[in-house]
Amino acid sequence: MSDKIKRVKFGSMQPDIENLLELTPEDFAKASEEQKEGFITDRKSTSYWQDAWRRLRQNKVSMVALGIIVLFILFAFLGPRLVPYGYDQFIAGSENLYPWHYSLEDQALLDGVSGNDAERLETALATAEEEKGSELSSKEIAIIKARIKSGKLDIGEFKKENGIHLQLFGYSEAELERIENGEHVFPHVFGTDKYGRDIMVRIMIGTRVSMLVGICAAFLVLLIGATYGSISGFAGGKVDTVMMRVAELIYSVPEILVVLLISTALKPALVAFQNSGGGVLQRLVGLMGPNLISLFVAFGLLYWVTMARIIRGQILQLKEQEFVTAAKALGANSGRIIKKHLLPNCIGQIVVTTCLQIPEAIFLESFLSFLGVGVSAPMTSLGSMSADALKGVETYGYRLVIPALILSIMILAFNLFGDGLRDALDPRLKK
Amino acid sequence: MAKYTLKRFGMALITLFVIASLTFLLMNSIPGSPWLSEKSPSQATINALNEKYGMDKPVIVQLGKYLENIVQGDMGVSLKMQKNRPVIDIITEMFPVSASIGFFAILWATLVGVTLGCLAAYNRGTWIDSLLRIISTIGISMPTFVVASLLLTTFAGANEALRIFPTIFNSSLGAKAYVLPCFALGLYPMCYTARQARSSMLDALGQDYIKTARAKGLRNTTIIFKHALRNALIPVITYLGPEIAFVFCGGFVTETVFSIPGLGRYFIQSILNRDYPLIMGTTIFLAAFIILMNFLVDVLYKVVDPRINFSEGGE
Repeated sequence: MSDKIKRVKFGSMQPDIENLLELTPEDFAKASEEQKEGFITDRKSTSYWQDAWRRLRQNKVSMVALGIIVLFILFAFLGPRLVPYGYDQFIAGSENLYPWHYSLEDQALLDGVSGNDAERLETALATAEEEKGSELSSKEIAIIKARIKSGKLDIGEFKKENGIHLQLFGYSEAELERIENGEHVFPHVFGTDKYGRDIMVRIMIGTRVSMLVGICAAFLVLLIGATYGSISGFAGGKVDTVMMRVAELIYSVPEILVVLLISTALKPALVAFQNSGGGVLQRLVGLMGPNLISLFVAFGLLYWVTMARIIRGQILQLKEQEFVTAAKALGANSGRIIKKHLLPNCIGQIVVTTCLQIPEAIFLESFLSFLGVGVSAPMTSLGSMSADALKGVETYGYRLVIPALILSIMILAFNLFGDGLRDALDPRLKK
Repeated sequence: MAKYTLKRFGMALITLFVIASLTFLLMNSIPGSPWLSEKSPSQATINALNEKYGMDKPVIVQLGKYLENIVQGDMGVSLKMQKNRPVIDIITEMFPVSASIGFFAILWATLVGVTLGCLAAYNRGTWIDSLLRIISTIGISMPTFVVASLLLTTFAGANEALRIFPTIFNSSLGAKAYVLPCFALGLYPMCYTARQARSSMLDALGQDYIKTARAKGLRNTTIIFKHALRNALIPVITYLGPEIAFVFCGGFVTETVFSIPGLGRYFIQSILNRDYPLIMGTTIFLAAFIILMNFLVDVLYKVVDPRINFSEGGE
């Protein structure tokens, strides 16, 4: 009983004796003169960011998440350069490839078997017709077909006997023959879609779109939210009341509805604008696509409220402090105080909120693209790829699973990293 | 309390007015007129039509007229999807389907979410806590359409053994038809609720009144359910407002994936078909519904938590 460690009940007021007793007399020994001297100089001063980075590094989950994010960035931005296929390139003869293939010999064996089936059916039908002396009714044909089918070779068994295995990556037969001839052919790692487009490249581009949307939207939110929140907090009084009422109003608006509405209404206008000439702005619209721009507009209009609220709260606390009074006494104007004194002091909160905004934007973009009102073709996105895959999902399930998985992992990584960043930058919030 | 309710209600009305105006103005700004479809009518016909629908008047007058009509329940007629059928008819036909799925989704999300959250908080630091945290983090990282389509392919797909649920929604099948859509729709709110319930339960368990209750020698169950849970539920109630919005807007996806004849799917189709009166009507209706629910949740919140002050300065 005595050597058993008693489990302390949650909420119990008993002091934790077990840990106290681990201290040994050495722990209470006096420090030597050397140690005393080195006490100050041994410690390097650490900046805020170094300190945060040290805490972040200790958080294994966030570091893994960061690694995944870096991998995704490489995948999305470097990947398309390494793969010799274009995201909108139709590769003739490589339609509907699975992300796996049989070697040429195995394929020939398999073809032989399935060919056998059809031949057997034909001969059976012919003999039956001869016996009967007249044309067969459809019912009789069906019976014969069923009989052939039930007597058919078990493909799985056949594969096992001949040692036929699936091999990684998709190749069309023509491509396999080219490899036989010593040519180097880049594999379709994730297969191809029904137009013969390489799915991996499309996923890379889709990931890139998602990341760009997430990061751009987060910066837009940062810009608007920080400006609005700091002005509201610093001005205080009536200005603050009115500005916060407006923010509250926007907060209670169902965002998705408005996003859908804006993208519907803006699209024709933007398309008209895009076709109106060949200026820089027109080309920019063409590059991003009208839907993506309306997404940004909606994000900029609606999602800054959380950021503004957080920054306002911080500024309200900070502006009463002495350094602000000192700055005022030195004659700094409001803009300078906000930019140079107040905002740098809430940088931790700003970074964390911005970082957590990224997965939210990715979420929204994929949602809209899935519904067909997001990124417009030929540009692709993980959401629209999933929506396309849903039509043929029974045969080509991988086309749904791969983008869905990548999207989820990406959002998960951003979420986990954001959480870790919050703990690192603002340890007071940690529970 | 009455003053607070009134203030909130006023706020809700203003929001609604802003949304309705925004919707109208956005739809009005779209280039091209609704009369220019397949064959172009003569200028005289266009003028006559414009006059008939009041489109020859200034935009602000049209807006006033439109708002007046909405208040009277007249949202115009559908232009393309179901030609000439009143929009309000379509909404009243389709909304109940969406609402019933949304209701069940919210119900299971809240019940299970709170239970799991409390379980995690009570077993803080054990494997139960870690497991639940992993599940809930994964849950809030999966977009609804991912969950919905994966569920559909697994449980209503090609695999005979797993095909338990119908591929296409059929309300005559009863509960079976609701399982997959409600699960898909409720997963994100469930995980979010669980996270919130966990942190607020931990917060509540650390309070002094819990220690007092323990010192009094109350049973554990009494402490958990009577003292801690009540206070832990308050943040969960505040999440109900955004949750309702999420469920009804997330319904666009689940209804599309599971082919449910609800308002959400119809709304998306009307957007793709550019049936503007229908888009306008549905947006305003859904916004009104969500804002009304938000208002009710706000009031409920104050009823449940009397500590909040109702004075002007209260945040």
